[in-house]
Amino acid sequence: MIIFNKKTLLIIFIIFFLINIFLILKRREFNFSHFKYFLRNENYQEINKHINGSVIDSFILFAKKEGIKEINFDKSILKDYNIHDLIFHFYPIKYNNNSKYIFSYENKSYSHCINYHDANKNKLKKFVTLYFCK
Amino acid sequence: MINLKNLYLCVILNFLILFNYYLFFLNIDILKITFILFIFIIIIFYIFSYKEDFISKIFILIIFFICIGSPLNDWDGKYIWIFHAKRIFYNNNLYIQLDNYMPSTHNDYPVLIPSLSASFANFFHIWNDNIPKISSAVMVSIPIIFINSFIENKLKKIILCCFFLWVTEKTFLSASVDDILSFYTLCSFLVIYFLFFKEEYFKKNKKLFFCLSYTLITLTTLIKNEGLVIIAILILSASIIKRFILNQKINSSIYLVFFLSLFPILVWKFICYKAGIYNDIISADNVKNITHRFLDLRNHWNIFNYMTLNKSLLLPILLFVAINFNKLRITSSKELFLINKKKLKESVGLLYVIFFSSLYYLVIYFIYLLTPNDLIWHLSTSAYRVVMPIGIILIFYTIINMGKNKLLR
Repeated sequence: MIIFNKKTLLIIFIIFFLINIFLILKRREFNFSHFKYFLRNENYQEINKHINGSVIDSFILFAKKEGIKEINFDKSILKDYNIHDLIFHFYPIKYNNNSKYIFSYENKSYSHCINYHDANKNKLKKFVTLYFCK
Repeated sequence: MINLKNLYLCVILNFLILFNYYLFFLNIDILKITFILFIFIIIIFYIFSYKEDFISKIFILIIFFICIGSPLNDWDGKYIWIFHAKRIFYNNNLYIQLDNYMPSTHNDYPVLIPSLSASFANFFHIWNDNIPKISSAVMVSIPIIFINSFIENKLKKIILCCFFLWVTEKTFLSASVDDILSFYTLCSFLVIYFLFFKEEYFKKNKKLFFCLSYTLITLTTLIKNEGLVIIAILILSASIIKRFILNQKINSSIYLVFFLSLFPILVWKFICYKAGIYNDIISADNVKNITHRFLDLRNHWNIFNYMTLNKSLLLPILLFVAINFNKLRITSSKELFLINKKKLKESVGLLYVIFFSSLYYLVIYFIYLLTPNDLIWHLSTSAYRVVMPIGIILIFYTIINMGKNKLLR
């Protein structure tokens, strides 16, 4: 029977502890680059390759000015994005699938442009394109 | 020996968190930022003041480090807890989720941790995905300070930290509250154990012990719906052991502690009920589901498989049985049936662990049988999380009783 003394046990469990910490760092996708976001007032995480947080923040400010409280998401966006991600990041603008405002982007290749248009009209007659993104 | 200095720190931190919640609850705007400032000061004071508890201090520093340096990537953490926090932050209103916007985010869940997250964001006057997560780090740190005040041996502290991380790894600091609930369950377990069976430990510090019991039990119930179930089972298990196995009277002051502790969560549940927001588990199909599932053995295997054969519970059970094998053999055969009081008194801690674990396991088992969701989906997304409190308690009991420590015997 192998009997470990206290010192050996201590070393074994410190290694075990470090392995656990490593597993957690991996699972939580730890990255030093996140420290720089800590005190920034923005939706910093890129929720997808097309829309990034600063675009959403700008849209929220814009929507507040325009008095838009609820929006619907364009079907083309919902194909690419997780609806919960959109709902989370767009809050305090609420999601309502009957809203007359539809959030969409004009062209995927021109991916960081966002439009909103009147849902009652089939064509994008009224839309504002926000060019404050990358 | 119990480290009283740490216990006082825990009580103050718990009260600050509770007061922050009560201020939100009463729609009072003042003092919230002051409470958050005090929380930071106390944690910094704990880390940098005196030289004891080196291991727990390092552990707490690591927790904050991980918390700040990781994104929000857990579904529950992001879309339930931080989303609720975001709603409270933007509307400065604890009751905002009673409008039942996005019912999939479980609007009936208690809002203690979202309110704390919102207060942290308020403190910095900004919103991003990282700041609200500090509440998770703070809430995990308090039980660590509390538990460490009962352990002197450094090796035991490291072993406990290792296994705590092992059991809670999947949700640890994910902004989901299951890890926090597991740690608080352990704290409440200890406090109720002392209340019922070892009052003499706090004979000279009754006020401190009363405050500890009140804050820890209240916080456990306010973390998540399961907290109320856990506290009910802890009280039931302790009462059964005290009244029917040890044939002793239950001290009437215990009822006062429980009444005061359960009051906030009952008020919250009543408010939800009045607003027409109910738990998604409760539905008209519950009886139909349970009769349908109970007769199919595959369902029983699936529930057992997902609940037991996972990282959170399997290793703790194996360790618990292996290390306490002799005690378990004696307790289960002679003393329990022949009711040898003297022997039973010596192993009351073990009985309490077994009663709580079995009852809680059975309750969760029953809930899975009646769930209105698809059983496999529900099991695969939640079973490993809800059994964490059992794993943590089994590990703690096993490690603390190694060697000369007689705290939980």
